[in-house]
Amino acid sequence: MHLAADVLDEQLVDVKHQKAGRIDGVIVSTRPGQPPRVIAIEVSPVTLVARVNWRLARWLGRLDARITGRRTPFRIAWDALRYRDRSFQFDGDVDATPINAVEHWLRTHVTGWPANE
Amino acid sequence: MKRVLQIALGIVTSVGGFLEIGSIATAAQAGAAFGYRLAWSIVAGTVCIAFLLEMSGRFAACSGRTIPDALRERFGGPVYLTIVAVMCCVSILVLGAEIGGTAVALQLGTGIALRWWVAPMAVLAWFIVWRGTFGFIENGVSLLGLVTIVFVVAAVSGGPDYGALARGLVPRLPDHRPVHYWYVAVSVLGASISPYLYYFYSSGAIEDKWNVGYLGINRWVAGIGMGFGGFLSVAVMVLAAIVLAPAGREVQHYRDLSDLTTTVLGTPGFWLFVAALGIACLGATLEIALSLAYLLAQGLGWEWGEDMDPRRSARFSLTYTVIIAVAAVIVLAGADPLELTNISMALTAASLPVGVLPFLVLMNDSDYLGDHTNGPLGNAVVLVISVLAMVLGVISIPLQLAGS
Repeated sequence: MHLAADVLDEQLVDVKHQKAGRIDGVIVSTRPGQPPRVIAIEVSPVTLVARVNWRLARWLGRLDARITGRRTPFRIAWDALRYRDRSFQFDGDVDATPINAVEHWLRTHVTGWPANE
Repeated sequence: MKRVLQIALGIVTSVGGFLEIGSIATAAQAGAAFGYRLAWSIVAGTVCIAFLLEMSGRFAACSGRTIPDALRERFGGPVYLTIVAVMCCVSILVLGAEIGGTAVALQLGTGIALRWWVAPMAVLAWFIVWRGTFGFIENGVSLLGLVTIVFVVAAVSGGPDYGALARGLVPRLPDHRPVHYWYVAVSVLGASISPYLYYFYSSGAIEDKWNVGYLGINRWVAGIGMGFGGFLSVAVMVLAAIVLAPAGREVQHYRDLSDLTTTVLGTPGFWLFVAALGIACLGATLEIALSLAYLLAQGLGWEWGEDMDPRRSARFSLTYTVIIAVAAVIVLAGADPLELTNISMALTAASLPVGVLPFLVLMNDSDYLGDHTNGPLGNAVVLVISVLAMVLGVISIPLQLAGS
């Protein structure tokens, strides 16, 4: 599997097949004398924008932190992912993660979608 | 029988949805300034968009994916963000021109100044996208757009010089005002080859759950629908060549456009022009706003869909809301709709390769299309016309702006 071609920017879905954004970054750990190992993926607009421009990403990170309360991009362990039906699926509910924090904030504060649906 | 009806509906809606403010204004400017001489640019633009539309429908039907989805996956985030940035900047200007076009139609019809109509028209467009279904927007508004056939009726009634029209189909160098000639040619190409059209079309194919069984329908709809659509643009150019060119008049205001049909058909021609302009621009407004929302939502992996409850797909629905608002503000800030139309169409042409070239790479990737990848003809036509449009645009836009 090629990380850039087959993992980065692929669609991510949750256990209920709800769209959960895309894989914006891949975290690789390096160990002396051993091959690099993928340990997690990142799902965050800040990570995506950082691939284009660091300054813009820093500004976006501050905005994201204000809305989501998180200071680091959301990560999912590599072991929790599996490739199925042209998407990477993780074992969890996207609504229980910060991935959709902005979507939920907009539903609650702007579009008025009932919270229990 | 069902297939025949689908093809018929697809062709009819393609024809009804073809004309918008850009194609009407640029074709009229071409006819007023250069008679029949720029007919080739309308034909080139129509052939290119027909190929692109067929490709985008084929891509969706064969791969089950939308174009932004595949662009992000195949070329990565930075390239995708570059395409989004260019598309958004150019398309928001085009959207402003379309909203301005609906307001101009109402100004012509009521006598009330354009600025009072911009905000209500933007709200109406937003309301239709928010409440309407994809089918309503795709079919309903486009069917109403068939009123644009008035341009063909008026052009034929006006007694065109068919010999000159046939000669205009062959590209020729200008005999006067060369910079303006190429600038108008570029604007005509930009108006015909609008990238939002194929993003909208491919998203529609996914919303309508197309598969390889739809390839035949797709070919007919793209080819014949766009062909007849281009015929409407030629009719506008012919009318301008008959009505405006002999009097040495240029299209300097949208009022000049209403003379095209009014001179030939009288008062009914005026009201049919008002209806055609208003409906065509409203339809384009809906399609552009939705296309940009599709581009963002599909590439960023959000839930999307015009048929979803907009309150639930909040990021998707707020994207088109903000885009419509920004475009309306551009017009309210005092941008002249005709100038906005001209510059946005020329910029569309100049930026064509940014979206078209990656799309052509996708169309030749058998991982997505299997045995249905592009042939050499489709590749050559789209590549040559879009690169030509960019080169002409990059050269003529600064010269035209400096000259004016």
